[in-house]
Amino acid sequence: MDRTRFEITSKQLIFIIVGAQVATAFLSLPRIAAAEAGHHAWLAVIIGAVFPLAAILFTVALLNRFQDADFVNVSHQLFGKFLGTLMVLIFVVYVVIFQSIVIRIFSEITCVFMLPTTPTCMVSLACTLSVVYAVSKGAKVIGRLNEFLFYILIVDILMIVAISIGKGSYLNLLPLGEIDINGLMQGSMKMAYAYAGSEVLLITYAMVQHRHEVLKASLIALGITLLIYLLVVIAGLMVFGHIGVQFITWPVITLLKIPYSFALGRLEIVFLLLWVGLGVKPVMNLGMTASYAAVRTFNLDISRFYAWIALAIGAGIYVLSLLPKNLLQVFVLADYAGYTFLAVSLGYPLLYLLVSAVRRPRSS
Amino acid sequence: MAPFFNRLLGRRQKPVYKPLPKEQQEKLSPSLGSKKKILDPYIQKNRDVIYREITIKADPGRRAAVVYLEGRIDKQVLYEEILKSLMLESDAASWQQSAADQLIDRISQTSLTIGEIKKVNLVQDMIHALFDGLTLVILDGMPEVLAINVIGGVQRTPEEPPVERTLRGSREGFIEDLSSNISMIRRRLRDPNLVIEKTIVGRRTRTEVAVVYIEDIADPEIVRNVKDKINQIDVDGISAIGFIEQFIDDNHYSPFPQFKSSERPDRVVMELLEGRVAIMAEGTPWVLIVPTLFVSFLQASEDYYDRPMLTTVNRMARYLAFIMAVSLPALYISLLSFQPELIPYELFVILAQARSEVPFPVLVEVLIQEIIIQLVVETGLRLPTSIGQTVGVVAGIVLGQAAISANIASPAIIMVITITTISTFSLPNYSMVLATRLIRILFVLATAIFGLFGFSLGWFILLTHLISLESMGVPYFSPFGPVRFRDLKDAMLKGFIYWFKYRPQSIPVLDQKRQGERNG
Repeated sequence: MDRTRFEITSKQLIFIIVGAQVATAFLSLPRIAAAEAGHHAWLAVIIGAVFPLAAILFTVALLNRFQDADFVNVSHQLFGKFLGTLMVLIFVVYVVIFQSIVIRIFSEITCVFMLPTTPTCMVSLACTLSVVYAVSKGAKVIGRLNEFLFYILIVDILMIVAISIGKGSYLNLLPLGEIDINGLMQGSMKMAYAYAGSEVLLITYAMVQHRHEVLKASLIALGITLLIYLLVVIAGLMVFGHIGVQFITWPVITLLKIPYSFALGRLEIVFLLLWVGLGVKPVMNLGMTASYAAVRTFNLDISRFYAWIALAIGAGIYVLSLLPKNLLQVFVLADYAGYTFLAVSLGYPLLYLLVSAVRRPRSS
Repeated sequence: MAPFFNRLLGRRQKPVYKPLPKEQQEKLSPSLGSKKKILDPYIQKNRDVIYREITIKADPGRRAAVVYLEGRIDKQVLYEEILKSLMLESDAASWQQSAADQLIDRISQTSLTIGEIKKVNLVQDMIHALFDGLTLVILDGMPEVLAINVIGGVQRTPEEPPVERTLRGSREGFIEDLSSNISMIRRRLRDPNLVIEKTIVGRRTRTEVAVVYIEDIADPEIVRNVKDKINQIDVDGISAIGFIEQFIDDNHYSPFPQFKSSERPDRVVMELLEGRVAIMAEGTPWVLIVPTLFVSFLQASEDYYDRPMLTTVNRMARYLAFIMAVSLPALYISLLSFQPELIPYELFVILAQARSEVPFPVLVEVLIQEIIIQLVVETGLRLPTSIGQTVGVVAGIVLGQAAISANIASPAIIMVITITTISTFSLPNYSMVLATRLIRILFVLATAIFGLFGFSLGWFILLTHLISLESMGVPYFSPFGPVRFRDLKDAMLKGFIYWFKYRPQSIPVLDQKRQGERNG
């Protein structure tokens, strides 16, 4: 494997960011948003996007300052060899912990809806191995795969929209005026967690061939994610209402269980056939960035060690995914993971910007 | 086991490799006797090596000989254009005017009425020229030998390609003779920029291999890559183009064919016009086309001769056939064993009733039928056509009916496997047919363990694999991954011919433009 395997186009960056953000979280999004913001849940989705927007702007502002925008090199330049390595390793550990929760949620949903008698650990193992296989192929393949899976995701979204139009009522979104500001703010905060995945930019920035396009591509990606979330939340509210939706753990799957028409039956089957491609994308994308960062940190030969590091990171994700005792514990951990997302995606670029302002002048 | 333990104990046996004798790398000496001495071992061992001493009319005092392989040459041409020319018609005045070191050139210019003549001055080259089928003219006192191409012998006449048949296309297919195959391409593609480069592959078979491309269209990087990979092949022999394919492909561990073969000159010409490179080998009626995309395996020559709307329907049927060939039995298992709630209740009752007498789980039922049908297909392929067809029909109908009567299989599984097999053979490429067979079994096992989740997992891994493949550095799954919108009109769909103003974006080329703007 040569270094060209880690060169991506700005178009692929868009799909990598969208893929890292939109996964299992969007299945429960209408419930989480409605629980805090009521029928203004859709507004919370829009306000929640401010946090990842800031994270993207800070990251681009930081990495634009360096000729060599490789995150590992930037860390070493700003913090020195030891502290820089530590900062990168903290990022890698964050990815491993966060993605272990994603894998666990994915496996739990799979077991609930498809394999009630199969142990969760077996489903997690199968997912992790398939993710490691994809990660071992490098960033270019991950970019192409994300692009292909994005168009499949559109099929899912269109199904959701079709059901909401056919079975829902726009009256469930009304009245528009009476806003509970406190609830809306709390809902927006929760929605910000759903945008976790934008931190992938810290590593992928240096992989993009035309760097002047990175900001535009990242903003387009955020816009696409925002649109998907809006459609999903509005669909959930229209079909179940803001009170009903709060009693359904994964409203999007329940939505698809509604018989749609005589000819098509339940559209759920289409969703389930595409399930793995939809659910494991964040683990795949962030797993790739973590593996790449680890290889670069220890200055290892990428052609020899990248696949092994990917396997090691996959093993870490798998082992950690087994630790929570039940789904409730997983949800509590997911909340904490949301906080760490904000800390990493906003904290890292801000801290780096601060240090770079103090330690070195702008080089490019 | 012995080689394993030998390796474990560090007792690695050195393979025996016989390098070329040093004396064969030396230059030829002028005397006829010494050249004859070099050839003597071959003449004595091989009855088809003919050595004949002749007297040249123009220079009766100089000893000369002609050496050739019986059966490899056109005897009429040898007698008329070499022996008669030298022995009866050579002009003494012309010979005497030439300086000694230019005499050999003079002979080929004035006394031999043959097109392809080359001079050879190394021992090794002289021996290779003889066994390549060239006729040697050896003259005493000259350190060079003339190697003349009068290759002939028995050849098959071009026939309709047996595998890639079309209703409206050309009826001409490639044969085993490389020169004839090249001429078929030249006849259809009279572009002066069509380049045909030849090389030799195989230390012992010395098979002539041609790399064909259009110089101002094909990407030089791909051409260089192809030539490098062919030149790196170091093997004692090849007997078909499939050997080259296996040596030069990018991913040896993939079940998918990464290069397409064609036996149709019209198809190869169209591929060359899209910037691809053709690899042809002596003795094979198949031509390798590189780089090849996955979509090429679902396209047929006929697609370009028929109306686009009809072709689009056919192509979509082929894509559906690929999906069913890979995953229909797996989907049957997952829906029947794991997610029956996803199929209509009435259908489920019918399927369950039909299975109630079958003593095996669905997985075993599917595997039994898969194995039986594969054996029937293999038998049909190996037997002569007429017997093969009969065996196929009898085995298919009788076995299927007997299996249902004996309660070994349900009617539904017979239908599923039959539809799958028909789908498999509706794919235009046999290498792809073989690939789908293997993948289908893996899908069946995945769904037997994980149901619909296994199905989804299988497709995810398959997609990852397809997207990661490259054919001579070109993304194999393009235009789907990476998505190239411009090429989609000739992927699952087939657009109108005037839509193809530019060559496919998926294959790098020097000249993008294909049609004038006025078309359409």
